[in-house]
Amino acid sequence: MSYSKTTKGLLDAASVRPGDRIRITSGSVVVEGLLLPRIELGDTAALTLKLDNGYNIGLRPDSDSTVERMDRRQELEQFPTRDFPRRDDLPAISLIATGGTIASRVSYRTGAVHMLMKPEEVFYSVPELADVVTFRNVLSPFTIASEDMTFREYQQLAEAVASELNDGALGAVLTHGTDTLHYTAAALSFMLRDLRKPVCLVGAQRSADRGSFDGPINLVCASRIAATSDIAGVTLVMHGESDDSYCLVTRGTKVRKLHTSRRDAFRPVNAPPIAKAWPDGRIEVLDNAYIKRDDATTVTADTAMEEKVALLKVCPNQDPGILHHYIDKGFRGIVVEATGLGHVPTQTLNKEKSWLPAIERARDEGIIVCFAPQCMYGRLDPYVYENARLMLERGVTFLEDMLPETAYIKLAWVLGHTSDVAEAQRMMLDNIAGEVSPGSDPATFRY
Amino acid sequence: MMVEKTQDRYQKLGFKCGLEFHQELETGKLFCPCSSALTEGAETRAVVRKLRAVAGELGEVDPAAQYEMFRDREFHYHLYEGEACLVELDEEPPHQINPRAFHVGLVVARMFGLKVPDELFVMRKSVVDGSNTSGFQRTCQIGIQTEGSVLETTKVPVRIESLFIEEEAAKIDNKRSKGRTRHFSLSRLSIPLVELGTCPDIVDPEHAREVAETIGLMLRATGAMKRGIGTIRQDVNISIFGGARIEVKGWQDLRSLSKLVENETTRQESLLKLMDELKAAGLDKIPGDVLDVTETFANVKTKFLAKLIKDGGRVVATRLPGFDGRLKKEVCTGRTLGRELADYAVAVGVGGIIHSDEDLKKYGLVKEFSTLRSSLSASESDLVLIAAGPDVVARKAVDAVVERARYLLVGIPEETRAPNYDDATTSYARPLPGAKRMYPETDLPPLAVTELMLQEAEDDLPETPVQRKKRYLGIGLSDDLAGQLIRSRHMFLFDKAVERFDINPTVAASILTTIVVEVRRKDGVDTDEIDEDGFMELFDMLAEGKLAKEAIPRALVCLAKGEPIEVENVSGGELDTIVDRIFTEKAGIIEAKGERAFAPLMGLAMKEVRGKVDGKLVAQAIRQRLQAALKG
Repeated sequence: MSYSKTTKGLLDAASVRPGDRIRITSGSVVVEGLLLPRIELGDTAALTLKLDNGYNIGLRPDSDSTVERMDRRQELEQFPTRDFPRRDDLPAISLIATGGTIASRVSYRTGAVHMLMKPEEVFYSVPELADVVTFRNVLSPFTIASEDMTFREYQQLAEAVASELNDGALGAVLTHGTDTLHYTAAALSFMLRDLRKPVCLVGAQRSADRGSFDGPINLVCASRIAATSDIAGVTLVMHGESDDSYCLVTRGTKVRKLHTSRRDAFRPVNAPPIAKAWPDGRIEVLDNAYIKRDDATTVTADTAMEEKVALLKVCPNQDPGILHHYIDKGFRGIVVEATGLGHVPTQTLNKEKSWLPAIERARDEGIIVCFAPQCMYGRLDPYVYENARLMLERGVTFLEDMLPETAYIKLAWVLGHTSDVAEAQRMMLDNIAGEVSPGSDPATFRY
Repeated sequence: MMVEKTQDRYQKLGFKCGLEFHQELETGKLFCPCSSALTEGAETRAVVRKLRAVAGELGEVDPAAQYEMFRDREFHYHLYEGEACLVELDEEPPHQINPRAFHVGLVVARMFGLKVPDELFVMRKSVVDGSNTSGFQRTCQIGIQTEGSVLETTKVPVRIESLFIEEEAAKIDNKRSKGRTRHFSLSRLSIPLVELGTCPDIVDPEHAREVAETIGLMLRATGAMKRGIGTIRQDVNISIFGGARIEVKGWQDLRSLSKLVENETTRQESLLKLMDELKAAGLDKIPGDVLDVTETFANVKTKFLAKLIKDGGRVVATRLPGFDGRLKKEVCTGRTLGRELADYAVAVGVGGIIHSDEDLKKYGLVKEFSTLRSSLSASESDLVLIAAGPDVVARKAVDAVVERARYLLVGIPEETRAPNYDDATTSYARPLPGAKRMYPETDLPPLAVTELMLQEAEDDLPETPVQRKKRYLGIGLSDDLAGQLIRSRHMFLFDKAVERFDINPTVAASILTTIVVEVRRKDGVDTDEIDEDGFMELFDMLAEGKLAKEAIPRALVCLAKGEPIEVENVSGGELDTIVDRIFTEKAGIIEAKGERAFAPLMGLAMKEVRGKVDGKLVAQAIRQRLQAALKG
């Protein structure tokens, strides 16, 4: 949207452009400042000025106001950068930057946090990284917010990581937006076969423009884990608590964003964290059952994914027609977030609300239906209640304690590898990347 | 006249002074629903954080911000029940601005004739000293200068330049803070503040006090201001010819504000004089060679030094040529140049400096300093100084002192100074922050100011202190009492009381001003504990004749203790009995003095019934009885 007619007329008459220093006179009020680009959400008649005291204000000039240009345009958009020279005395890892809050800055145009920042700008914010690791390569295959990720980006990432690791990087660190960070972690967990080096995903919940930016600790801890630890596999390294103390290293298939805004939003679910990591390099292993580093092994990016998969949450009164819709649209696999121990409506008083016929249709048409726990915490059990038994009899796969988001990614990956229903069902229950815990550790609830 | 002389002196100096007046609001917090009561009851949680310097909107890192980062601190934040949530913890974006606080802001803008911008932007001001969990303070300019935004004073009109509404910072707990660790309570963080800035129109120290007091009274008239210690603070900007702008942060004591301004002016004046002296003495540069002299102090007896060295600390020294004796001299009352230079070392993180203008015997360092002189090739006219601490810190501390000493040849550095309350002087705190440290609060959209909002503010414009005082004089209060009342926290209560009850305004005003103060002093009770209901009960009883005037102090004591008002009224019959007894016992006085016996008899009676019955009734009873006795 552009300025209102009066305002635009005044600006044009004075040939003023954003970045110019201007003076607005309206009656007894005289204000000088730098004209900022129009704010998308703002009043179309108002000019946004940065005053000499640093404050921004909006003024709505009227037909009696005058606008004068005092000085020419100043360059507004600049951000300091810092190159990272390679150092032979430090362990070499690769950094793959994809966008998100960890790589964000303030935007004039929208007045909001802007998520396009070069890796060199991240280094500027986290200079201490230079003493921890050296980057053999810094890649930025794309810069998008995490909610804009698709399977294609996962494939690109997996290939980039595999190539870096096979070329000699001791580990890889991926910076990423936090919204869907756990989906990407799951995708890489399945795609990177024979992965025996650390691949650490890291994000931030506070933007880089503020003194309380939480990214540096996450980035430093992740870099240390990637460079020097023996914790192979795909992990998330993010704040362990609200304090800026340590990070939790969690399995990429057993972690979920559980808070919209806190630093420690990412919690392991149905599994203990692998370790605590401090920015000074200390690591405390909490669960030793992780895959150990073996730098000699070659990793393969096995990235085939089926597009036609869906994740569906069941809730009271939900029309089973939604399942028919997916079947009609040619979907090959559906993960249902089932209630309790693994239930969907089957014995509703209103027969039309029962999911039984839709589930039967899916089975008959060779579509895989998997149940994952809507509760997130805990394991499904198809034998306790009749509802679930009815589902089991109709070919539903009960995914134990697998997180629904992990299950969705896994189903897409599995169906990218086989068109055989029985094989796909078997693979869904195989523990491929730590997504199923064999036992249920009492300590893992709300860790 | 004395006043003219003072003004002359300041005019000659090119004295320029402006105030930034900060006042907390009692409206709840600015960006979340937490309470602004600041009671700090039960501690519910504590978190530990770090902060870092960041790039701002124009891409540069502010030097002030960088400076604080260098200090590498750890911040502990304490949360108290109901007074902080995830917003204060920097774990949740701010909620929309508190509408009540915002309204008060608009009212204040109107009161001072400021123009409210058509669109408001909440800004982030980088603050990485730990007093804000986010690393910035949210602030918003809601008033800009107009021709009419002028404060009338007894000397010259003072232009009002700007009005901001902003978040209060977290309060540091100095007792708990040690070394690199700072403790803060989050109860104060994000309490709304209005900040009113004047142009540098203030003409002398006393004028500064007057301006601050006048602004304070005007703000108080809105009835939305917090009261008590620390709820009002002034930042004072002071400069003189040849100097630079000095900002003194956070002065809280109105009475000694003029003293502070005077001392700071004298300090600047002395430093400029010193510059001339140094130049006249032919000093044109200070080499600033820094030596690690830890070895010289290897066997030192001085405890803190010995311990520091044992723990791996280093002692670093330098010499200041031609400075011998100079560090003893005062730059203003109570502050030597030595103290002044030491501040810069302290800011870097050492305990202070030790120099050859001090009593070295006191430290037991006479021998070491004489060795130092030769290692530094210092002549007798040179000053030798040391700082001790971890290697880098000790070096940076000495560098900072050298840097400052060099600037003595240039002038006065622009800086932010912290006040010292005991003697109203100031100490170096940090470099002056620039405008660069501001960028928009990206979590909040711009706020369009509507006609309705402005109209509501207009409708709510309070009576000014001048108008109020005039009204009080009109209902019969003395000038003194009216003046006291407009400064009192109870002025709104007074208005209600005289409206609701049939009560003498002078009595009500005295109770709320002088009598509470007397009771607090004499009976040692906290009369601030008396709430509105308590006072109203008291006024009700007075109006109904249930309480004698003499009983007011007693009643206030009861209220202050949270007890019901004890009514120990002496009935008419009881009074008669007492008077009868006194007349019987003191028959001799009546015989000897006749009518003049009234005064001693009255005294005796009042001794027994004071506070329990109206004195007029006692006088009446005694007079009647006396007349009867004399007739009889």
